[in-house]
Amino acid sequence: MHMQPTSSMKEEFLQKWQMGLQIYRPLIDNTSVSERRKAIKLSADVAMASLRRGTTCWSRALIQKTATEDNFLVRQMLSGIKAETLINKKLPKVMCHRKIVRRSKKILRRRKSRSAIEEVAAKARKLVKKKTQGLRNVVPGGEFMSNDVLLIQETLDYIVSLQTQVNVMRSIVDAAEAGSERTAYYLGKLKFAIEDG
Amino acid sequence: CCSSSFEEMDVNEKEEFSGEKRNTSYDSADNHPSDWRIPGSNPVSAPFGSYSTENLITASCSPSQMMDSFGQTLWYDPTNLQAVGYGGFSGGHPSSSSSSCFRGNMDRSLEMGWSMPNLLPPKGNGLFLPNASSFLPPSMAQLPADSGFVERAARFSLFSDMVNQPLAKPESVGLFLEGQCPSTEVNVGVAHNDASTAMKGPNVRSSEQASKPNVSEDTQSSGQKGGETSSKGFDSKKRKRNRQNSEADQSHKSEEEAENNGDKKRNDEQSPNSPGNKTNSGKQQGKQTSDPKDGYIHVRARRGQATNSHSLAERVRREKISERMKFLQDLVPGCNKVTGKAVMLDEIINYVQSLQRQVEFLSMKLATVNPQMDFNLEALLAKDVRELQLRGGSSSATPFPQNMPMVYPPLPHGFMQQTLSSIGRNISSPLSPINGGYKRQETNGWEGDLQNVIHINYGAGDVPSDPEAATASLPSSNMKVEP
Repeated sequence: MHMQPTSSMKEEFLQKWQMGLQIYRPLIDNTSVSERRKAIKLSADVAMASLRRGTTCWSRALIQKTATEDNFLVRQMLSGIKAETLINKKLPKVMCHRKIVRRSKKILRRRKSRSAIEEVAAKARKLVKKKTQGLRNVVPGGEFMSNDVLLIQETLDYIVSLQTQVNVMRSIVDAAEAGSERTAYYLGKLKFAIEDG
Repeated sequence: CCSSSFEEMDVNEKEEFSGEKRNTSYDSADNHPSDWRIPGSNPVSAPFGSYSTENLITASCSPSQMMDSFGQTLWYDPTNLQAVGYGGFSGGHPSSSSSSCFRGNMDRSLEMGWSMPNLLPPKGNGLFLPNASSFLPPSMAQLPADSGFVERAARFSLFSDMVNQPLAKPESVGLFLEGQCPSTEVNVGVAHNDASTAMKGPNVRSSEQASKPNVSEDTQSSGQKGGETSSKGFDSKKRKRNRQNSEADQSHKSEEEAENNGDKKRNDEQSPNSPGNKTNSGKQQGKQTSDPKDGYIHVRARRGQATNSHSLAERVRREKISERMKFLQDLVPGCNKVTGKAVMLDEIINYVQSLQRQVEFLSMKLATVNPQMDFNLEALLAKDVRELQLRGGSSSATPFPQNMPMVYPPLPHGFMQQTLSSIGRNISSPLSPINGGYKRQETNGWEGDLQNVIHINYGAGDVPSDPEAATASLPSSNMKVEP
């Protein structure tokens, strides 16, 4: 059912990402490194999210998050692909305020016999709940997934997309680095050769 | 002879099951002790009061490991079973002949009970009647010595023994189980059986695909099993069962969960916590038509578990979750040995966070390495390099283009080591992670233009799969370069 990042996914991601970076090119006077980094990351994120074409919750949430930081970029990148609706759609209100829910549950909970076994079970359950909440915080849009099944599903998809993103970016970085290293290497070799004779 | 008749009866009963209303009392059973012998008739079901189906269908469908551990701990002593069975039987049964026959069957049922899996009916919407019956005897020990009860139990085990088809007589079993508060144990036993046998299958089935042989195929079908015929008779049993066994169920549930947590922590939310989806599916089950088109997911309760619509929906949910967690296990590296929800979730969170951090790091790196953010050039260059590399791997006589004195070393450091030391295949040189991550090179690049561009590095494995090929090829080609 779920896969590793495929070649076509990676290609598509790269293309979209490049397209996003092109948008920044005219504004090349963003000389600061952090500006550039941000540009790179945002376009990468949008590219990754747009791979899913709005079918998954996390991708929509991610696009909307990016839109808050750079609306223009998002619009440009998604132009033509149902972009407008995606951006304009307001994020749904948080489904449940967990603190409030927890408190009211506490009140309502009737006293049950506290056997040792039950306490262990309850603790385990609490732990799992905490972890799922932690997962919600990590996955974009997770707060809006009250359904655990959906959460896990989205996580799966998100992980695959992240892997794609990381793979492509790393390859680019390798190439870019190798380029500069190549030059350095050969300069060194040249020097060596010259010195040798 | 006997066996065939029973099978026949089972099939018939199964068909009739959905339509019938089984409300006959216990007592009538006593009057017809030999009824069970009559093939094709429906005597057995008649005497037994209404009993919700669900409880019978323990489903081998306890694919979850929790059931497994659970069952094991609560397993009862086989020897006990026999004694009880026999003793009870002789006490209660009116006709000696039937009793002897019964005993023989009892034997078999006992054996089968222990050997478990084989017993399960191969297909269908089964009740694990066989299982259920085999478990009955032990529980009988705890029952008040009701001869009539015992007799029915005995009958039942015989019944189950013969049955190869999934029986549609939940009521009969239910009858016995109702009497026992420790229906939990019985259920556990059954669950255990089912679990051990059915463990292999994916846990999609909250519906009743019971038995063994078919476990694998049946479980393949997704959770949407439309139209289980057995679900028709569901409602009435369910409600009655609910009232009577709510206590048993609760204790059972807590036990179950305690056991579960030992092995696999489940995110159990008790019925009070029902969010929207649970109540929805509950309602669905309330008014089920076994129509596949209506889109409901038909679920059957397992034996001995709460037939609350909430709990049923909950179980479906839980199984869905564990199914997906399995996928996650494959995806997240290093999760194979981890069991337990909490730990797995932890791993998943860490992995996602690490991926996100990698993205940040890589983008920062790109920003510094390439101020122009001009990546296309790199790609093109790397393409040539890559081609070189590939060719270089095949033969060492690759001509090296002079105009492009660039060989793209996948691992600059390793590369330099090798060339500078002029050593041939120094394959053992470790891959120095450029980015601080781990690399594994994939030689199957992309299709298309950008195909050979870039090494696709998979960032998770710490032992690169075939770096040797790449690094080995380099020295040879690089040798040429050296003056």
